[in-house]
Amino acid sequence: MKHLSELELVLWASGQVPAGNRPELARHIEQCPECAARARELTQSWALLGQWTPQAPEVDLTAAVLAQVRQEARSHTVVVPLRRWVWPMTKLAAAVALAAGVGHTAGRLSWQPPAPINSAPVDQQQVLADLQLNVLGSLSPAGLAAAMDSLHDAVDDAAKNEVNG
Amino acid sequence: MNPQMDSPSDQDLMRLLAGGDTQALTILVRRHQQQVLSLATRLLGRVEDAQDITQQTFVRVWRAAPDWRDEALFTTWLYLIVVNLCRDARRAALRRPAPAYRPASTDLPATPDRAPIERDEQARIIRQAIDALPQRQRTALILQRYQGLNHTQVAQATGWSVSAVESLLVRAYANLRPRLRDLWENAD
Repeated sequence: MKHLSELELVLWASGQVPAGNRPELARHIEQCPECAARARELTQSWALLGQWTPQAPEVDLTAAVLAQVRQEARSHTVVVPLRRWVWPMTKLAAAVALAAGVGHTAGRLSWQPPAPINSAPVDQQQVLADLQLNVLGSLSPAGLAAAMDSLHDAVDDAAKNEVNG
Repeated sequence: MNPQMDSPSDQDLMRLLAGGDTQALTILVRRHQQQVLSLATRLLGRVEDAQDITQQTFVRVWRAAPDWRDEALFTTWLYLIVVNLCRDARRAALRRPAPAYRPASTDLPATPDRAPIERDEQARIIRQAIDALPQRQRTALILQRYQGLNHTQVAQATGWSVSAVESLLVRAYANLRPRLRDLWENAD
């Protein structure tokens, strides 16, 4: 005959055997002296343990609990919104910092130096000739007026050619 | 609170508490404080510490109410808080250099700041036998024998697996047997 396990006996002694298994265990204990002896010991242990009843005084802690809760609630009036916002704000700041860092790094990696500026010496006379201002430098005030007239004529001719052309 | 709720369930009270109804907390404290106090006293051995743990337990209940989910028995969840607080209190006491932590098994004379927690010699022997158990066996046994939890509920109240709880209980009763044998032989 297979004996009951220690766990089954503990359950038996503590009255925690599921109702469906109880008749089977009871039958076994009735027929098996060894299991019956172990079950009796455990049942006695269970009963003895019940004699340890700590004499905790009958106190009502309701007032103390409520006082502590109210105190915490008052301090949380300020603390709770902060706690609620600190983490999302921290995450947002971290995201911005990360994006800035990634952008900066990408910018640095993709940056190419601009083409060098042609720094050849400027031919001042050529520039003046291109702008048709070379005539100004050598004329007297009377000649300058005449030169301006011829310049106007040249501009008018150019405009006409553009219209006709 | 709705005046028509003559005897609201723990679950109803937790929902009300989540909505800010502190009267629900009052009912929960009055309904469960003796059980919590009794459990903490057995786990810690000192009534004064147990009262402090009981108070902290219900403050934790209030704090956790908005996030509480009706997934386990309220009392099982409540005992989980007690077990964790008692474990933390024991660890803190062990870290404290002085005065040295005295486990519940220490026999001290009854003084005004340490009330006797047993009625007679037999109860003292039983308490010593339980206090001599390894911590996890002791916790499992106290929850099963004195708080009336089954194995699954003990597992929920401790965070241990059901198989671990079963093993702890079997070993606890096996360890108690020789210590209690004298008592039951005398009783016979």
